[in-house]
Parts: sequence; C-alpha cells; structure tokens
Amino acid sequence: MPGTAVDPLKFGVDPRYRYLRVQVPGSAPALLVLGYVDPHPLGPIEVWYSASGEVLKLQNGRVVAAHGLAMDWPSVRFDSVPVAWRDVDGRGSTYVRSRDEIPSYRFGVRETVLTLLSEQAPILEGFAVSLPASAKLTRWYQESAQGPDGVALHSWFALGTHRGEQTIVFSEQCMTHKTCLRIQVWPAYEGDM
Amino acid sequence: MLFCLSLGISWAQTPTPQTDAVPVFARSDVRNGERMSDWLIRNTDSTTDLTVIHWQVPSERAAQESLRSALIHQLQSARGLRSPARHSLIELLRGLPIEGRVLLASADARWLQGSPAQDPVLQANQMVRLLPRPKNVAVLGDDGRVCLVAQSAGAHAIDYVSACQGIHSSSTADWAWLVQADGRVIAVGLSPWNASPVSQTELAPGAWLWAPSRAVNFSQAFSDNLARFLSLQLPAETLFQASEVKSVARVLASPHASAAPAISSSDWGVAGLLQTPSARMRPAGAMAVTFSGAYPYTHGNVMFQPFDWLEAGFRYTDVANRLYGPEIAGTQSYKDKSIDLKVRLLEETGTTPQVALGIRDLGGTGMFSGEYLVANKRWGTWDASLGLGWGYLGARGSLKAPLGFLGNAYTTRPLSSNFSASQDNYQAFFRGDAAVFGGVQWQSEDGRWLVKAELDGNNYQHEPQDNNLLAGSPFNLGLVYRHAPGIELSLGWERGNTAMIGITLQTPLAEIHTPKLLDKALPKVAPMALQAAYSVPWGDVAKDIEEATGWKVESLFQQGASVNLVAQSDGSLYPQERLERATAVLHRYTPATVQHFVVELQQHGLGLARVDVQRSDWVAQRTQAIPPSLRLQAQKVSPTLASDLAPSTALAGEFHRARGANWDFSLAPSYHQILGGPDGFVLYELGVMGSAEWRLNPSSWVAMELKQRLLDNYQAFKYDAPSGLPRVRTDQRQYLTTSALTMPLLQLTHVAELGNNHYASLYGGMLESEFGGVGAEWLYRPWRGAFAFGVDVNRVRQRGYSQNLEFRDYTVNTGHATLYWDTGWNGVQANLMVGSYLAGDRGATLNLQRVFPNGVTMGAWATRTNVAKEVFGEGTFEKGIFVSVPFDLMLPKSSPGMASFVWQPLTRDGGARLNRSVELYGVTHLRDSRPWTWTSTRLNEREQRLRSADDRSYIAGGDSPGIFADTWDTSQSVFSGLGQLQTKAWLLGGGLVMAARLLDHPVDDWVQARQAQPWSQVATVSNAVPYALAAGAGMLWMGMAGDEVSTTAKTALTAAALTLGTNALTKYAVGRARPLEDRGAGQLDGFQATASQSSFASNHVAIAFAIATPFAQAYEQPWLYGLAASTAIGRLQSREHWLSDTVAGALMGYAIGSLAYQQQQSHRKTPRLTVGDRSVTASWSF
Repeated sequence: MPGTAVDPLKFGVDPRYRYLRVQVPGSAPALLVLGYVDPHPLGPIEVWYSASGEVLKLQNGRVVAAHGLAMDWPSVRFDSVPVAWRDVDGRGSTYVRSRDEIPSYRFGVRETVLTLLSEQAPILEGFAVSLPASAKLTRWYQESAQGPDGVALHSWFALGTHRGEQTIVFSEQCMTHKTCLRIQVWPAYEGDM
Repeated sequence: MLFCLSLGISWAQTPTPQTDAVPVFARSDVRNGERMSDWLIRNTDSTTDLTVIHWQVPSERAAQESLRSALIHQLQSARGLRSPARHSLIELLRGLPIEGRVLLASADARWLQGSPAQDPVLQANQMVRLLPRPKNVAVLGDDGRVCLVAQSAGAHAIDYVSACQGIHSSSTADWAWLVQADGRVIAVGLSPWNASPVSQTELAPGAWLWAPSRAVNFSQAFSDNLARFLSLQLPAETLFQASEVKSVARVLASPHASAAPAISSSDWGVAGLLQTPSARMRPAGAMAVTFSGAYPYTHGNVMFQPFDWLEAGFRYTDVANRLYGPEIAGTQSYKDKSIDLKVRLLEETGTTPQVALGIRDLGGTGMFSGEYLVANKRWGTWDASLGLGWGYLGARGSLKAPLGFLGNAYTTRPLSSNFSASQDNYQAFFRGDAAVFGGVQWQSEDGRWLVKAELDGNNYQHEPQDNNLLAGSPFNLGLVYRHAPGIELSLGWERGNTAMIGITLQTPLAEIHTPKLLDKALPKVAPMALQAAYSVPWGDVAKDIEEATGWKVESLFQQGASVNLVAQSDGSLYPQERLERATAVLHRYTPATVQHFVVELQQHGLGLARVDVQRSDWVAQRTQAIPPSLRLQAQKVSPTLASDLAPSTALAGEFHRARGANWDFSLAPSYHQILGGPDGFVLYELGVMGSAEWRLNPSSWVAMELKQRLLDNYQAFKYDAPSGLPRVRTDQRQYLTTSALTMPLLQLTHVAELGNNHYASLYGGMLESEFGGVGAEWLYRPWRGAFAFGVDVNRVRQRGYSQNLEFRDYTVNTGHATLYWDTGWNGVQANLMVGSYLAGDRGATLNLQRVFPNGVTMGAWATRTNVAKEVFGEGTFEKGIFVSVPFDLMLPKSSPGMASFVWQPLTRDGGARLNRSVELYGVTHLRDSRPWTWTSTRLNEREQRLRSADDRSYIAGGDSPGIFADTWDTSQSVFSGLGQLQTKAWLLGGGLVMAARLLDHPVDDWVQARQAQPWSQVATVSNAVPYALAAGAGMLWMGMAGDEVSTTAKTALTAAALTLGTNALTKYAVGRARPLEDRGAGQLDGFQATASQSSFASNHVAIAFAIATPFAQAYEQPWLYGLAASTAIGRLQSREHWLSDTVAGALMGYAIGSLAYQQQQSHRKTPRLTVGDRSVTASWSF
C-alpha cells in the first residue's frame, strides 16, 4: 500500500477494532482497520481502511473491490456463485466473475475461477509472517482465475478459526500477474491483543 | 496486431442527439448539505453498478456553454476541414446537452467517506444521476459522425477506430483522445511512430473516442477542449437512437509498443546513435551527463534541454595521443572544450519525419566543428535516422558542396586550424563537401536494451592535429543497457577496429522532487474550527509556524476576526507551500471566531507581499470536493502597505519578537573546481564554509563568510592565463592558492523601500573574493509587473590574494543598468545589463533563463564589450551556462537555498562583472507572481487519479497567442503586404534610390571635407537617434504611457526587428563596400561571409524609420520622420554609408513600419474572439 511506510508490527492495536496486515511482496506492510460490514446477497462485505485512505473490500475472504491503490478494482461481479469454502473438495469447483480495472480501464474482464482444496500449504517466496497459531488453521485452498488474455491469476487462501469464527485468516491474491496482495488477520496471536 | 475475425454488423450515424429518452437508473433529488457518500449509501447498495455517475451542478453550465462556443469558433477557423464535415461537427456540438457535470474522484461511497476532501457536500439544486452499465464505446470522427462499437475487454483505441473503418475517415487517425465514462481523458498514439505505454489503455463502456484523421489540421488545444466537452456528456448510446452497433475484431496481440521510445545519448552527448546525432530530443528540463571513450578520444559531455525543441550543452574532449604543448602543460594530454546546439525544426507526424538542425563544437578553435541536418522516423521499436553532415560530421565528403549554389564561399570549407583561438569559426559553417550519415536504433519491448547501427559521416582521414586514424569500416555498432531510466551503459565497435565504452546519467530536472519525510507532520485540517473561546498560546503558535515554514515570526496577534502574522521569509522559492503550512497551523490553534488569516511576508525588513486567507473557503477546499464554479478564491495576494499590520499598541498575550541585534550562523561543506585547465582536467578544493549574519535591525545586517580549505590538488596549479587587460579575473590561481583560510565576504548592507515600487540598497566591505569597496543599487519593480529596471554603481578595489582585509592597487568604477523582463512565455526571463565592467571595458550582458514550474532554472549568458577579440583572447567574448536546483527538490526536509552549477568555458578579464551577494531583484522576488505558482511537490499518478471536481469547463491553453505569436502574425502580414505593393511603388522607391546613387560620390566628397568638429559632434548625436528611439519605444511598451501607446510601441519594435532581419538579408545579397573602404560605390560582393557587414542599406536609418513611422501615423506627428531622417547625417559624416544606402534604408523602414501599423489597425477593426486559459473574450474596436 503506497503511502504507508511503517511496519505495523511495531504498533500496538486497539482491541476494540479488527485489523488486517496487508503487504505487496517487496513493499512495506500496511495495517488496515475494519470500517464497515455491508450486507450483500452473497455474504457480508467487509470494508477495510488504511491510514492513507485506501479501501479494500473483502467478501468471504476474496477481494471484491480495491480503491486508492496503484491499481484499483472498482467492481467485481459474480456471474455464478462461488461454492462455500467448506464445500470445496479436491475435485474443485468453478465460478465466473467479471471485474473492472483502473487505471488500465480494463472493464468487463470475465474470468473462470477454479477453486481447489490443497493438500499442502503453499511455499510463498519471502513469506515470513507467522500465521495465527490460535486461529487453528484447518485448510488451504488454491484459486486460479483464467481470463480472456490467457494469463491465469493464482491465489491462495487459508481457512481457519479467528475470534471463534471460521474465516479466511490468510490469503495471497493476485490482482495482476505481477502484483499480489498478502492479506492476514492481525494480530497473528490473539494473545497479542 | 493480429485480427482473426471481423464482426462488423452495422453502425449508427447520429447527427442529432435524442436526449429525451435517457434511461435513468437513479435520479434523485438530493438533501441540502448531505455528502455524496451519504447520497450513494441511501440510493445504492452493494450490487449497484457505478460505472456511469453524473454529479450535475447548475452553476457549471455557463462555463461549459463557453467551452462549447469556443469549440465552435475554433471549428469555424479549422484548416483542412471540408465544409460538410465542419457543419456536421458544429451541429453535433450544438445538439449535445449541457447539464453541468462535475467529475468525481470515485463513485465508491466507502472510499469517499475515508477521503472527505474528495467527497462533495451536495446542494438542493444539484442532481446525481446513475445510469445502467453502458454496453458501447462511441467513436467520433472529424466528419461529425458517431460510430458505436460494442465495448470489449482487451480492446484498445486502435481496435475501436478500426471497427469503424469505412464509416468515417478516422481510420487514418494518428492520435485519439480517450474520454472514459468517469470523465477522465487521455491522448494516445495510434500508429507505430507514436505508440507508447499509454496506448495500452482500454476503454470503459460508455467512453467516447475522438479520433480525427491526420488530414485535418486540428490543433492539440482543440482536441483537448473537445475531449473535455465530451467528458461532460452522457454515454453516446443514451443520447442517440442507436439502431446499429459495430463490434471490434478479436484482438490477439497488444498495440505497437509497450515501452516508451528510448532517447539515448550518442558518444558526443547529444541524443543520437554513436558518432552521429539524431533529430530526437529529450523532454524539456532534462539534463544528461555522458562519458564515452573510443581511442584516442574521451568525451565528457553535459547536455541540457531547456525547451523540447532545443538541446544545448558543452563538452571536454581528451585526445590521448596528443599533448597540450610544452609551453603550457607538456605532460598532459590535449584537452578541447566545445559547445553544441541542436534545434528541432519539424515534429514527427504520421507522414513526415522529425527534423533537426545542429552545430557541433560551436565557437572557439572548432577542432571538431561540424554542422548537420538530420531526420528521424519511428516504426514501433525501430527508429531510423538519416542526415547530412558538414565538417567533422561530413569529412567523408561523399557529396560535393551541396550548398555551393549559394556562392563560391560554400564550395570549400576553411580548415579549422586557420582559426585562431580568438576567432569565431562560424565562417566555416555549412561549407565545403558533406556526407550522408544515419542508421537505426532498435529497442527491446521493455525498453532496457538498445541496439544501434550507423553509417559514419567521418572517414577519420582529416582529423585535427594531424591525428588521422585508420578506419576499417564506415559502419559503427553499439549496444546500450538501460539499467534505469536515468542510467545507460554503452558498448560499441567503431571504425571497424576500435571499442567504445560509455555511460550516461540523465535526469528530468524539471520533474524532480523529494517527499519531505523529515518535516514535522502538519495538523490534519478539521472541517470545524475550535468553538470554545480560549486563550490562544501565541508563543507556541509562532514556534510551530517557524518550524513548519522556516520563517521568522516577527509578530502574531488577533485583531477582531483576523489573525495577523508578520514574518521574515526564509527566501524559499515556494512561498505558496510555506503559506499553506502556516495556515494549517493557524487553523489548528485559533477559534472559530477568526475568519481571516492575514500574513505579511517580509525579506530583510522589506514588506513584499500581503496574503489574506479567507478561512472558511480555505477549509472547505481541503475538506470537501467543490465544483469549480462554487470554488471561491481562498486567498488574495497583494502588495504590502507600509506598517500594514503593525498594532497600535501591543496587548498582553500577543507575540512580538524582541527587537535588537541578533545572529545567525551556519557551517557547511564547500567545494570548488576548475575543469579542463592545462594543469589538470580537474583542479578541486574541499573545505568548510562558515557563514554568519548579524542583523543590526531587520533591514541592516553584516554578512561574513570564512572558508577553510582542507583538501585540494592545487600543487599542480601553475598556469596563469595571459591577458592584455587589467587582471581582474585571471589572477584566480593566486586567489585560490595563496591562503587556505580566506574570507570571501564581509559586507554591511542596508536595504530600504522608497515607496511606489522603488527599492534601494547601500553596501560596503569585502564584496566578493576578489574585490571590496562600496556600492548602491536602485530598483524599480512594479507589483507583479513583467518589467523591472535597476541600476547599480560600485567603487571597488582589488583585494589581496590572501582574501583578508588587504587590498591591491587596482581600483575601478563598475556598474550596470539592468532591464528585467519576465516574458510570460514558457517561464522565460530575459535580463539585459548595460554598463561598465571590472576591467574598465564597457558593453552589455544578455542573460536568458527558463524557470520550470518546480523552480529549476536553466540559462545562459553572453557579454560583449568594447574589448577587441584579439585583446580578449581565447573565447572571443564572455559566456556561460548555468543550472540552479532548489535544495527543496533534493532534500527530504524543507530547506531554502539553491544548488547552482555554472560553466564558463574560460576565465577571462573582459566582460567580468562584480559578483554582488545581495541583488534587489532577488530580495524582492515575492513581488513576482511566478513564485506563488512554483511547487516542490508533485502528485504521483495515483494521487492525480484520485482528485475530483477537476475543472473540465475551462479552455485548454495552446491557442492563446504567445509573446512571439503576434510578432509572427505581423511578420506574415508585413511580408505579404510587401509582396502586394503596387508596381509603381516599387518603381518609385527604386527611382529614388537610383537618383541618390548618382549623388553618392559627390556627397561623400563633401563629407570628407567635414570630418572635424562640429560636424563630428553632430554625427555622434545623429548616430544615437535610432538607439534613443528604440529605448523610448521600449519604455513606452512597458506601459508608462498607457495601453494604447504600449500597443503602438510594440508595433514599432516589431517593425524594427523585421527591418533588421530584412536588411540583414539585403546586406548579404548586395555586399556593397562602405565609403571608408575607398573601393567605390559600385563595388558589390554579395553572398560572401563578410557581406553581412556591408553598406547597403543603412541599418541605423532603416530602424529609425521603422520605429518612428507607426508613431507618426498613429498620432499624426510628421516631425518624427524628420527625426528619423536626421540619422542619415551621422551615417554619411562617419563615412559608414553612401547616400543611396540611407535612402534605401529610409524607404525600407518606412514601408515595414507602415505595413506593421496597418496590421495593428486591422486587428483592432476586426471582431476578435480571444480564447484565453480560462475565458473567451470577444472584442471589436472601431
């Protein structure tokens, strides 16, 4: 996230709020705070804010909008509904999404996304942040979005328990084949609160 | 680009918009005072598509209507546009609705809530419209027809234009303006020659695309304005009854280029291939330093790009196998200095190449001098150049004297060895045989690798210093790796047998900035001020302001609803940024009862500017998005009135700085170098410099500098340049080496405001490192005027070499009258100084400089004095290049001051000026309007994108006349008028000249008998008439006698300039000998180098008539003709001209002056529509 050059690890957090640690590999991490939870037919949309006003919207752990970044996703629409994480198995399931990008103004990018349950955790380059032990990480999922230009965008999701809820506690989601976001619930250990 | 399928179905020609049936998804009245984000939350949900949202503000409509009127006016005068197309476009524009759209940074309510500065506060009369997601993109051609194409992800502008092939002529478009549905506009290149990374931008559904064909000569300003107008429109499919829609062919490959075209340095520093230059130019404001070596030559080049059409710089060349010479520096390899200049003549278009004319090694000995004309054309990743070179660039001589038809002088080129160091080498320009050169450059897709291949125009068999080289091949090959945009590493194989290695460091100086990470963070601007009445801690506020701005707060207090702040500026180039910081602090601390912040900025006690900040407007502009029409001026800058903000009596709690003397002291590293001298390529010194300032009162202070030299290589410094003048600068070795501890400055200065825009200073002491004495300066500088005028006089004595308090014997009076002119054109400032120099010589200095919006300055100066070239020595006249970069652009903490780089090819005694440390023009810089627009910060691409409420209604600049546009108009009109003069007028004029010719010798005989006084005194006065007329016209142009007279003065000066140009050509063509030469009146020797100094016609008389005629005709003052004619007396008496020369000059000046005046009158009598930056003005004079 541009404009946020401090490591949020060095800062304490307010237990009244919920936080996300977001990092583009190679850049400084940013700490986002949950601002709103908006209702939606496919599940609530969490609206997360950075200190410099950037907005990330997550629905079931997936990025469904990004505003104020170097590249924004103003809108993501699901033309077919994604299967609930718990129902995804090794055979996989697919859904179709359409999304828009700015400033490239790629509007209406239609992608078929394959979701697979993964037997093993991914090996993520430079990934050194501890996952929340108390979150009881249970499953890893891999998603592969196939777009019209033939380039696939890959994502990883870790489903676990956090604050007593089953939720995506970590993900790496690629917005382009060069730019990926590593998103993690924060703090990693509830004991840090 | 590969298309596999064309799905063209049909298209819609829609000349008349149908605005009644616009499908509206949401069109809701707004609640007065609610935020846009709140409206969106009320009217949309997470499933709403927000691709097209229009915030409509009624008060915007008037400005948008003006934009349409300007467009229609521009269309009516567009060249190359057929009548039906013109009519169709005009009808289209007239039919489009104007609804007052204002752009939003984002339509996402949650983002707007987190960025309140971009979140509008709506008013009841405004409207917000949400439309269903459009499906199409509209392509507008220059025939006024709209072609609808189904939007497709992955398709680019060229795909949509291609889909409309056959519908209109846009398929031959070179450029397209993409107008996205959110209103943002971008211009992209469509062809292999102009494609760039932005060509990859796609189009959102609902976008417009303006793609004029290359056959129609629309100005860029027109297209920018049209795109602005289209950005205010709803999607075309909602405006037109579209029955047919085209589809793009399926795109399988990206457009032409993914990397920006690479402009790379040649071995000689200028943009080019290896040994040969190209017509390419770096962006304006760029600076490039190149080192290259190919035995036996090593070049160190510094090139500047002051304009996007001009590249200039200097070079040192080391010749490894030649020595300087035993009498100077026997063991050192030879060094040569040179200056290069390259001017772009034509910009590249779809059908024509970019063309440039250049000169290498201008002036001096011209060892490597060469001239060239070169053209470049680009095809995607390939760039080809083809040129014609003379001199060093054309030594192969494959073309025999291509300019030989101009005269015998052009058939052979004088050898550079024939020029002495004190001569100009222009007499060799474009002469003799030439050679063709050229080549190609290929760049990789990511732009990191360049491959170059060229045909060299030099065969290295005519090298200077008999240093001919074996050349195995006329072809050179090179490979360039661009590690980053600013770093190039080059390898080459040249002459078929020699390796080349090079490195280039380049930076866009006009773009540089550094985030101020070390500055104290400013308080966030709260929408509401403190409500409670409390005691403001003025002392703390003053301290915070000083920390935030670098100012010294003199006083700070509340007076009714105003807070008054008086502060001494730190001299920063960015007063607006400092003011912004001060205002943020004041807003943080002061209660809501304070409505104004009034700031008086002083420098050295001189009240220079008074800024009244309207607090509520200032806060509103930083806490909400405001439509341009409702955006009130938050601040007003005006000249300071004497004692403007002084309280009658100081009250308790107010802050007032204690009066009395105070000190400032600073310590900084110092560095000094001499490049290219015979004792070493670099002579340097490193040390520390202590600077102290003791202020006796705000306007009187003592400044002192002490320098301790710590490290140097001056042990090699032996050479003292010869001089035929008093050694006022050529003793630099003694000044630099005699003492390690020196005192370059010890000066007492007092400045004062005399009232009515007049300022003065008195100073005395050790004024600079080599001279001390006393002096005074007076400056007349109108508030925000284009002109200022000043005079300085100094009585100075040369200081001792130790730079302590001792003096040497040489004493001189020196001083100058200086005219400062802010041309208003591209930030160019021209300063003309006339006066007496340190060596007692008299002459003038012209200083031209461009200041970029970030405060970076690039400039050059030249001085000509009455010192003969032979006496001046090498270099023939004083000249130099300079660049200044504010520290604010380079440091992470706000810092006043500038880093300056000055390059003088030689240090000579002629034309040397006193280096005064305090100049009133600099002290009073806040009276200029420009510093208030300079910024040290720059929004990045993301920040620019996330700004809302941009003003789309104002008219993009470009068509407004620049300072030379009127002159160009006048030139065209005058020369057209000359061509239309009736035959009898030419016959009459010719007859008068011929009649005078008969009297040439008798008159010359007569004046030869009258060479003594009083005739010589009469001649002196007479010769001064044109200068007096020019000076008078110049002062009148400045507005001293009102706008009417100023216009006539401008016409007169334009006529004089045209006359001068016309007569230069005449002199060159005729080449008549002067009476003084005693070669007779019939001796003609035109088209020779010396012909430009010949006799026919008289410049003095011609210019006197050219200036006098517009005034004589405008104000019916025929005596002015007599005054102009009196100039002839001096020209004849001094035997500079024959009688017929003066008659011809008078006729020429009268004719051009009359035609220029007629053109001025015709301008006034025609209704004129002037398109300004933010206005359209109609005027009709009778």
